[in-house]
Amino acid sequence: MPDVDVIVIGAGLGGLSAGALLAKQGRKVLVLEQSERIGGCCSTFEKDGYCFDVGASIVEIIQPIEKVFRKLGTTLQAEVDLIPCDPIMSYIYPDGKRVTYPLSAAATGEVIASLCPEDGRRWKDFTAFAHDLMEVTLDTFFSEPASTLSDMVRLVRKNPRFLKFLPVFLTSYQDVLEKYFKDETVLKTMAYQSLYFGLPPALVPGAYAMVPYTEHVGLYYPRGGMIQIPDALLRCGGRFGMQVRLKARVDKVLVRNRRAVGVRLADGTEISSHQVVSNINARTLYLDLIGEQHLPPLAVKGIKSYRYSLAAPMIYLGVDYEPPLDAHHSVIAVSPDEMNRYWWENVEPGRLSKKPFGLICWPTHTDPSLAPKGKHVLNLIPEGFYHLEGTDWDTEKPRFVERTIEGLSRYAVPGLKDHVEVAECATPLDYERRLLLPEGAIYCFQQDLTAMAVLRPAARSRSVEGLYLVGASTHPGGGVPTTIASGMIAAGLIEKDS
Amino acid sequence: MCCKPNFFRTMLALIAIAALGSVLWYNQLEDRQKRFVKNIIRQVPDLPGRYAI
Repeated sequence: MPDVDVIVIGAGLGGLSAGALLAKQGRKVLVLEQSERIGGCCSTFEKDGYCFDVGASIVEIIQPIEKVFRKLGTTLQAEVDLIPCDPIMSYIYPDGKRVTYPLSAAATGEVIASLCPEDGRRWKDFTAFAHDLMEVTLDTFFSEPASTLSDMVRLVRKNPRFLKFLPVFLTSYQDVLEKYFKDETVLKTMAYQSLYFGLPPALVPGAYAMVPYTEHVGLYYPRGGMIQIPDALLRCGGRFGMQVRLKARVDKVLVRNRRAVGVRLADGTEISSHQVVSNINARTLYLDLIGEQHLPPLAVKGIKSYRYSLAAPMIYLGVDYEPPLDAHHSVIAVSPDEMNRYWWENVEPGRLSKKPFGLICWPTHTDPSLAPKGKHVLNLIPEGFYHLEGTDWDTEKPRFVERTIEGLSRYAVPGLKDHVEVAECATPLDYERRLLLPEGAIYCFQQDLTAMAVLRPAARSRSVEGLYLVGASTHPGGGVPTTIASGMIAAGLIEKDS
Repeated sequence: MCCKPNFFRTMLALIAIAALGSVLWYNQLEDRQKRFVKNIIRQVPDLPGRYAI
């Protein structure tokens, strides 16, 4: 008789979502988390009165999240106080100019028209295309497994409109944007989002180009920090008896006759179960925790073939002034070609950029409770990557922080360097050490066409029975709503298989 | 008996046309579009393994 029905490895969003739903199904669920806090990349820590989000900084495309909480017998709005963000994004140009997009897509169209009347007209066509694509994918990819070709056939049958978007998957994010927009200033407001998928605009599949529109459907911040979302899942799971053990690192998944039968912890304790759900990087799972000897040779070849996604260092600042910014999120405006050049000239060879780059998150703009009165939090996501040419992150860290603050002070956030009270930095190496993300890869694997849907590690393992995957490693991929959706998909598969 | 050689010749001709067409299409792409195609083609040998996981 197994000790529990289901073991979940990792208390990230995918693991907690799966665990809570499985507990609601009446199963005895044990979630094992190696660190001292839940949430993984979607967590919050406190220092000197300031609250900093570890990684994820915003919530959008909330429909899958709402679906999960409905399945748990409650609502997202009842469990998490979501504050709408408006404006949604401010773009900062090197000459100091700013373009700020409000939440309203129509109002954003007017802003775009003021930059380029022709692009303003095309914004309507773009939003119609993106809205249609978003509806089709919400109805299919975000809520259903896509592990096999028959899954894909079923998804298309469920919503045949999906077929008209197939050509978009075979073009790049940049191609889709440039089909609609010609003005460089406008294009500079849409290129950055390609990095949400860990690749530059030239390599991201065109379907993801809907993101500059989906942000207008709703962008939210949970009052009290991003930790509120995993906390809500923990609370809901607890109502149905889900147990979570912290500082419980899993060393091995026990496999007998190609079936997962439990886990062994770092302290040697073995816990048996009917099923194992993994919320950790799929390569670590299969190669380290399971071992090649339990896998078919083709599967070993397959798991080794994936490239890790982009890593992102984070700089957490507590400042004693109101930063001169216009929105919860600000981005240093870059064109698609500049992003591509950055990828090929900086990311691939491992050379850090000397120019300011990346996302500036100002959560106290939306939720002042995150900092002492009159003070503010800034979470900076300057670009960076794991492999550095001729150096390493431990060596570079202090210079990197100083250079980033200095660079941003010049025109993006004037006065910043004179107002920093607290400064912390998590490099890709820190993410690897603390969150066990190999190479600090926040989306696990690159999310290009050949690593999507059926070509991403399957939610129901094809090589080990009784093993299920959730989180960024599997379909639908990295991000807050998608990792939560993956938990729902895995729980649905386990229910079906049982 | 006479149909088999015709069939193979036709197939070969179609494959040759498709290959030539692909090369011509690829050559007219911009550099970044070529990289998109190359990135996919590079990973094609890995696809059977990824479907096995």
